[in-house]
Amino acid sequence: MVFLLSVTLSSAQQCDKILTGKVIDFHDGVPLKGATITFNNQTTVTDINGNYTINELCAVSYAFTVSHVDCNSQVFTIDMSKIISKDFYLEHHYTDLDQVNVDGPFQKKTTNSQAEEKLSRKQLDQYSNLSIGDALKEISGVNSLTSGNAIVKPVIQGLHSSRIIILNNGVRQEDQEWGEEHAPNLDINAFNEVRVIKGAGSLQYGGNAIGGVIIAENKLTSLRDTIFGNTQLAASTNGRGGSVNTALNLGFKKGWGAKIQGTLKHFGDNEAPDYMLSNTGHREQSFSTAFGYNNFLYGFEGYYSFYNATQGILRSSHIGNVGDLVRAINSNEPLIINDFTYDINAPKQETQHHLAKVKFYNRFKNLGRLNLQYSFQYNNRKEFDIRRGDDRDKPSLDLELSTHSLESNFLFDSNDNFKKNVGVQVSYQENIPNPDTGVRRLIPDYKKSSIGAFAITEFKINDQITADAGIRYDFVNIDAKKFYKKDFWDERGYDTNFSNLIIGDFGDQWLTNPDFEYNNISASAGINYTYSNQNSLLFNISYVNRAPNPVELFSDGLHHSAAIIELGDLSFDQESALKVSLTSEHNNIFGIVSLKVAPYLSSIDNFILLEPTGLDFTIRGSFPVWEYRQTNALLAGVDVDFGVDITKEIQFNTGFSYIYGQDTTADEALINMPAPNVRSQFVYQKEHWNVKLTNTSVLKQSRYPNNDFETSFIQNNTTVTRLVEISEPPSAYTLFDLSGSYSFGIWNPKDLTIMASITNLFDTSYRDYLNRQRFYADNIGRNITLNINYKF
Amino acid sequence: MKTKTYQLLLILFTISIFISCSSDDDAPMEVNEEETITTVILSVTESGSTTTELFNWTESSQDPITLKANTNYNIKIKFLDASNPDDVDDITQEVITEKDEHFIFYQTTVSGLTFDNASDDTIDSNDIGINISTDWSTGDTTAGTLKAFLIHEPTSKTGNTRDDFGGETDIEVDFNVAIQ
Repeated sequence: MVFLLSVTLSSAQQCDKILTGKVIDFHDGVPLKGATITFNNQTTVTDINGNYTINELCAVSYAFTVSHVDCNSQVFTIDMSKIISKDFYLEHHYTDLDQVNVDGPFQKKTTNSQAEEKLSRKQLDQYSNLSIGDALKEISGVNSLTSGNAIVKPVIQGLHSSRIIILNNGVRQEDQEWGEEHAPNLDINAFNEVRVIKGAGSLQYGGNAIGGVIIAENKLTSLRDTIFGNTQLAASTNGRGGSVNTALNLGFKKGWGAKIQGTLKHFGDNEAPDYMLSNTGHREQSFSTAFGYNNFLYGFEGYYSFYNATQGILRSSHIGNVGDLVRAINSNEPLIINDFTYDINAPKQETQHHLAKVKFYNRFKNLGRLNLQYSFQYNNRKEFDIRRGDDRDKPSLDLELSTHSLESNFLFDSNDNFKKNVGVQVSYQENIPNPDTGVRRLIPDYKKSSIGAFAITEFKINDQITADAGIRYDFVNIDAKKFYKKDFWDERGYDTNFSNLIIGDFGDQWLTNPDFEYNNISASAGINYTYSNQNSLLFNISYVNRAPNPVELFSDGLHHSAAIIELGDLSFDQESALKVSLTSEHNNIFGIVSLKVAPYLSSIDNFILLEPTGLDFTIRGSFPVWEYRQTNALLAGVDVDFGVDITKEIQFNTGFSYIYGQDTTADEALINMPAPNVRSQFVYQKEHWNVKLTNTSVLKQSRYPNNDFETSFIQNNTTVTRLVEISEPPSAYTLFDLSGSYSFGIWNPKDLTIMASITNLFDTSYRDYLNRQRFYADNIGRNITLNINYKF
Repeated sequence: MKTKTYQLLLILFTISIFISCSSDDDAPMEVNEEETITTVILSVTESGSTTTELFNWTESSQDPITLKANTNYNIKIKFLDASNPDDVDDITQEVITEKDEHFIFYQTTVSGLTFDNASDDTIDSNDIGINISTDWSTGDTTAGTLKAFLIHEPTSKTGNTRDDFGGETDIEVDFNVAIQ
């Protein structure tokens, strides 16, 4: 590992020179004890104060290789005819390019005092033909909000969409995440690791993450000459399709590194146990590449990723009016069931996401590290409804979102006991809805500028207690151009409060220029107390604000997939959340048991929710009107993880989560709160084998607001009134999954893994409360997947 | 190296700001909804007569229909997009062109009021009349509601109630009917 550059030694010279000095940690200036200095097969070791003395040197140039455990060896060439003392600096805290967090690389967690979980590449591999949302369900307290099988949004402790930040390799993903049927536009195979911070206190990423942060990362390899990668093939019976993904990593000892990765997915219609789920196929093509350089002092990285997906929406979920909804609810089966096909017709979504970033860091002696990053994202979302005539192939929604972001932070990490991180983020975003759709814009043209600044610190109080604190300020300006129908404008009372926003008169529509500013202060503080034998207690309190998103402010029309009219409100204030969380972690009870209990309580003022307020009669029939409203909400819950090693080979683990969500103003339950659920697993692991039996049990959500409404029909020549039961959550269900994998070596040990899995083993018919298509069809049935992963 | 990277970043950001800002403050184009149906018209002709009465349904006003008791009528339905009063589109033609994907259906609370396809109805490729033109007969004096549906992509075109046809409801409007 340590190469010695030999130096010719001339025997004619006088060899009585002495070299003295210290070996010092570059990062914090601390002298390194036990560092070795090697030259010409001789080795000297530094003493407790980092001092060394080398005698009997000749007056020539020497190459000294200086090494220390955990440090990168460095070679220094010194001309002994000129120098008699020299201090060697070694980088003690050398890490990969991507390190934005306060914590050093030796800690596993990103945050000090918040509940945090991660999924490794190995866990992600099992989901290579699915999505990040599917994989994250492995984590207790993380659920998914779905629209069918392929559109999966993560829900962290009951909150989702605009209340969650997703970091795509250090860049905050901007992909119209406000929509409940807008899945994150990223490929699960592009990342080595996905972390979930179940809390609001990660202020370095953004001020509005009331729900939490998902950090998806992929680090470059460097500082060794290497080439490695993998190719993975997965084929599934349900959807009769599969995926292929391949990744290649290059690393060079001199500090260069590169990576290239791509995924293709192709699926046809999914199947529920009793019928085909027509028009639920999906396609995905994605690609990412990164290159970078890093050395002792500085490094940079360029990253580009592309994601392109087409996702079919269950045909029978496209409905015309309330009458159609009632028919769908009353029918046990979807009203449209066709033969299996790979074709994807309307209704469907086509999404594209480009992300490019450049990042740079520089280290300063005895001080810390400066990071600078610029990123650009372009997102295009097209949604196709079933339309007639010339508009048949036109999307009903076509949004282009461009986001520029420049951020910089300085991490003062020279003192391990007192770290500080300060930074600023400036971003500019422009949303352009294409007017050629012939459908009035769901969200308007807008320009959003934001500036955020944060300061966070982490300090050791004693060996057991580490405290953290942070503060963040965010300024958000939304400058929108929006058309309002004049009658609607008056009906909402905007003519009295917002008449100054009108900038144009277009017949029956006003052109308005809402230009709103939001100033948000967020703060967070916590402690991490570690005690006897791997136990820890984390406590965090955070106060976070979120500015309303464009839908909450501006929406004013029919939402087809839900058959409801959604109305936003221009007068909304930001949401303010105060969250207290506690995590009690015991990793080693009697050597075999681990237990983690994480209760939390979150009180959110001005919580924005959508609730029904009446019926609107249109030429298409009647529609329930849902209005966004601000209220005060209380979310309380607990996540419990328990694991036990039954034998050396067999492990049992289980995760449970419960959430209580209450609208404290209206004194009723919050809608769409995940039902109590348990996920349990028996894992058998021996040598080449890994076999898992997983059970997922979801109880019926008994706490829900009553949003049922009445509508009238003509039946046998008389008008009858029927209750439309949209509120009651579906029944409880329990599902079993079985998977087994076998790893063996062809050229290298364990370079080939073959995995077979069966999800929904007993082909159980069920519906899930957080699936937006629960009114129309069952969830998917049994799925057998064969997965071959070859590493090279 | 280091300063170069800084410069590169700075240039990139500056360019991007320029690009973003160069798109001016142009007002976006207004969107007038296409394929909207604003008006449903029933053209009612008494059997043997040549005079036709029109009954309009718009969101703001609905004409009440008066029919004679025990009489036969022909009713033709029309769909208009009058969102721009200067450029009224007749959507009925689109419905006729896409006859296989459309079906018109009526339901009523008026007892004795029944309908069937008329001989001049539009017939789809499966030989089913889509009820653009319908023949009606009235019963005794009474009053009630007539509900007209335009169904897009019905799962079936045979049946007696709205539930039998499936599909999506493009139009669902109520007329008040008096049989005198």
